[in-house]
Amino acid sequence: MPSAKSSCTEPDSTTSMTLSDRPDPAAGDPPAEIHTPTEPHRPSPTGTQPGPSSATAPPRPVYGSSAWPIGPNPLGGPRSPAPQSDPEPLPSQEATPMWFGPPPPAPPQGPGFTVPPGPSYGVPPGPTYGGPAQPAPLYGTWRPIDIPETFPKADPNRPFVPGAPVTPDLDDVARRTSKRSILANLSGTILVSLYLAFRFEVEGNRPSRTGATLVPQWVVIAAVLPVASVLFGIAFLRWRAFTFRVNEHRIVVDKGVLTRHHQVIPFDRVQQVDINRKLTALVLGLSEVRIDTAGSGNETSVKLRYLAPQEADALRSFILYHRDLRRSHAQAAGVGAATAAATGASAYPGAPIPATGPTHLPLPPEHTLVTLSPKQLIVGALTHNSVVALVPIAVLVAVWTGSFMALASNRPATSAAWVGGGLLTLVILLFLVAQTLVSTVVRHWGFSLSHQGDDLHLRFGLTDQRHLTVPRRRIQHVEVMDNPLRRAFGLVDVHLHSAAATGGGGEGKAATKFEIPVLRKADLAVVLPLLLGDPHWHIPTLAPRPIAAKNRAIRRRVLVLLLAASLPAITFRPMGLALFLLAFAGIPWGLAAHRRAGSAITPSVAVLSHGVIHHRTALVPRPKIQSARTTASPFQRMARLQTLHLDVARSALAPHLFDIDCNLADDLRHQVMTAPTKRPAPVRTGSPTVPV
Amino acid sequence: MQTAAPRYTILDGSVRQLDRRARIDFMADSAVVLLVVTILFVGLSFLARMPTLAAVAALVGGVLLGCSVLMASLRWKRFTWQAGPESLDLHHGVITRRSSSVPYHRIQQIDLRQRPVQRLLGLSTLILRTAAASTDAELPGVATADADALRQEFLHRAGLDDLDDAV
Repeated sequence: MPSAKSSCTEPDSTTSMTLSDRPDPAAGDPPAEIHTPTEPHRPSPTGTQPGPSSATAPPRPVYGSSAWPIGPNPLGGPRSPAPQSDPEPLPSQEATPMWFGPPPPAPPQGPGFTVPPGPSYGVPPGPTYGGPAQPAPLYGTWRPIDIPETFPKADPNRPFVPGAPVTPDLDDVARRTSKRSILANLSGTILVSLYLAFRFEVEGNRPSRTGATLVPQWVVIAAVLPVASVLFGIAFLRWRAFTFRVNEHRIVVDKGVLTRHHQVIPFDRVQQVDINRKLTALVLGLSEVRIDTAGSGNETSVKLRYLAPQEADALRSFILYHRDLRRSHAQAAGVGAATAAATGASAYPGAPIPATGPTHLPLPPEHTLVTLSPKQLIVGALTHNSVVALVPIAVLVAVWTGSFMALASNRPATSAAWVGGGLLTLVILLFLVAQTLVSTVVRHWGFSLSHQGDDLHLRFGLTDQRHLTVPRRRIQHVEVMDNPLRRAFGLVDVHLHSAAATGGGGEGKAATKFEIPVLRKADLAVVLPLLLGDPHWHIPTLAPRPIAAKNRAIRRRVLVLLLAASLPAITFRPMGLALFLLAFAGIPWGLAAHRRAGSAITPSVAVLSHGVIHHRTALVPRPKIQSARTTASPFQRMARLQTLHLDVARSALAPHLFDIDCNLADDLRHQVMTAPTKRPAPVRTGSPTVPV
Repeated sequence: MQTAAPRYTILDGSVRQLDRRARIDFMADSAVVLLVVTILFVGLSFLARMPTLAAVAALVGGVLLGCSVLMASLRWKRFTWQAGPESLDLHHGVITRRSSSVPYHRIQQIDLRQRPVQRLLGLSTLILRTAAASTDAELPGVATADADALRQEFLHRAGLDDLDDAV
């Protein structure tokens, strides 16, 4: 291995590691060679068969199971070779191997044993190796690593032993993403260059009259090949530099070709684990795993692109399982954590789990709440807001250009042109509608919403498949919306606003807002209590606003219509003056608005509802209200009314309700917020970059 | 929220106004740009030998200045706040009146800010931040001498000061 060492992490060969009792899976690693999954170089139990020869073999220390036992700390901290200060449990031979799945085979008894069947995730704990350790750093080197073929699946029946060590060889192995991800990451470049090359050959490089092409083809190839190989080389190096290691406490990601990044995500901090399958990934049979933690900024989200789908699923369930396990421990040992903090014991995520609390956390069953069939999706798309808005506009524009303008022109030819123009507009706009329809159906294809314990799972997508896991308690508020078409069918759509951290950008925005694209209104009674986290909650009847609000609603709408009608009415006098009659429409409009608006404050949820055409109801769990505001314009003050705003995290526009009685609004402003909840003493953790 | 005895009389739960000097700060805040623009316009008009325009500009500028000073004064007058037992209440706004309640236990961060005029006057702006970006909790005129104590007290009420032994 010395040949594979890089200069930045020169190991201290004089340091005698106390990790020498670990088996050495890397004893026979040849230098710098990528092992394919099909020929796993990780030693199977036969590979680490104890014998006299292995006494001299240098055991490989494993990072993560001890805090940077060897080599310089990449974060500049002091090296900590002493395992006494280890925040994580040290492995011991007596302990049960902490992996899941089938238990590893028993330690080999002699040299003649056979390979046991089953997955070969590392070696069983073998006899102690003698001899001084020759640690070899993993971090920042070009050391070959082994890529397990698949990620082990989380086993719900696996007993959990608190404080038990993570057996290094069963666990915490540096893994690489799938090799095909090189291709997936290059796919955009490949497609663009193929397109450009095609365009150049077909159009730009036309043969001249003499028959010779403008640029000889070998020149094109000679120019393309080095560029292509450099691009591929970069992609390959990036893929090679990206490794991740998982144990029961955290995931560590090392990446970067020139600048190395070392990211530690303790599972305690994980909010959300999503699986995305974009079209390229889908074609190549890959999945992207995206891990979001609490907080904000780019460093809080880790993307593993790409893993094999079953590996991605297993990793997701593994992380969620251990996160829940750790949380249940933290809750059980809430008092213990407080005392530990008082006595100065470190309480950061790598610390051994206190010995109290459950030793076994059954994986809760997953209940499906909503599934949408293609038919339902199509109905949903046909009644989508954009359709409701665009179809009348399309018809209006077509009729206006087709008939009104045709009548206005004197010559039949011009009239015909206008009619044609109108029809064309209609076709174009209807095409746009059809496009949104198809894209909606494709995006939400196979939609399902289920809940598992405290997590919600959303799965959807035809070309870009996504599997989102949202902790229910991260939902800040829920919006139920409809439009006239959907009301007629008894359908609504439900938007969930979550507060998961996002790295910014469009993708991030999509991750904090989820929707159930279409839902029967009758199903709300089942779905909403689960989304809001109060199983006994039922949809309350809304308290109407005061009479003053009704008058104001009518007045405002009449005024708006008068203003809107004034310009055309004055332009097209005297006939146009009839347009002012439109203002009367403000009366039923205002009445409808008043009928729809209302509020209800239940013990767990604040409900604010308003809207005539788009009827929208905001449901805010009261513990999620950060602060409450009331505003009153001069007109509102004259009518003794106020607008109530409920500020929630991660929402630019706070849920609000216009024109509530001012006394009620003032009372609500104080009472809508809940008292502080008594939580177990918060376990303060360092930033995710603290070496664990 | 355990409130034994308010540690600061300014936080005894009564309705309070901002520091008197904040009125000057508000005036400066709204009038400075207007004043500069007016002076520039009047000066340029004089230089361009258009005394009528200069007079009109001075008149308009003066009226606007007067209005802004009046508005600033009203803004100060309308700004009241109250540190209740569980939440900080703010009432402000001249044309549109705004009230907001921020429970102490929702406070995540407290900022102090001083603009140049505030530095001259010895004032600070105390900003309470919660997880919601739309939270409106700014005390724009607090004596700098009190600001730090206020901040500590709010942090105490938020329960954020007893964790300094944490990692």
